[in-house]
Amino acid sequence: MTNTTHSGGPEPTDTSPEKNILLLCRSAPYGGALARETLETALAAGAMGYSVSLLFLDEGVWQLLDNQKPIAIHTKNHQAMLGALPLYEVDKLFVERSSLTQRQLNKRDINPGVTVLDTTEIKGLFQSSDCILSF
Amino acid sequence: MKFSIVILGAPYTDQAAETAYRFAAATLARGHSIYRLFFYHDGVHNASELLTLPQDELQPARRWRDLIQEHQLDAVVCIAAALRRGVINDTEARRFDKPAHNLGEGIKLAGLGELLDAAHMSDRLITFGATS
Repeated sequence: MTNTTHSGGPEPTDTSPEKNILLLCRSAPYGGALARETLETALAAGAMGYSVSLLFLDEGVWQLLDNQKPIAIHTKNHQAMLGALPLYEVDKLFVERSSLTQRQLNKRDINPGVTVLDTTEIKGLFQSSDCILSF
Repeated sequence: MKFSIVILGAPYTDQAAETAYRFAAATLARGHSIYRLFFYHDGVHNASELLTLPQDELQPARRWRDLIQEHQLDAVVCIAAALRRGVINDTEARRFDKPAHNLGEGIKLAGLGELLDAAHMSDRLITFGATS
């Protein structure tokens, strides 16, 4: 979304904020473009006035690690993009507990603004979302 | 029921794009409607007219084009994802001074707002080609 030449889409409409959108972030931050393109969708949704939640699970939990230094692979820093989310009023971030434990990570390893959810809580999150976009 | 379909998988490389096509065709055959096809991530390659497969293999771009034309479907390729991957229409080719363009007929380049609009307006939004 930093390159406005490549962005766009319709203006927010009166009806757009009605829906709660949940984005499933399941890709590692580097090695592929999907993690970045998922966050671009989140930023667009926030800019359009939707209520957006992000759930990080599977390999997607690596996106939440602190101290990423992708300059070594000539790639933009994914953390910077995560940091831009609040500017677009995307501040409901969740991570699946079992995805963390499977990777021997715990809450201390990840971004402090992210809420850890158990499976039953994730069911509730799914049920309260009008639309789920899986990436 | 009103469906929208998101295609994330590249043609040929991924089965996902073929599955998405079959799902779309089956949806229409059952009398449902498709609000929008949205090509994103590597799925944008499905919209390239330059795909050249052996004659005895499925022709993904042509099949999408025929389905879109036959049913007058709204088909959108994410402009940011497409330009990064060299899928481009004549307008953008001129804007960025490129020697050629390859976007299939009947398919639009537009922003992610079209994906969110599809999520908002459809009864079901189905994604093909997410990571496993």
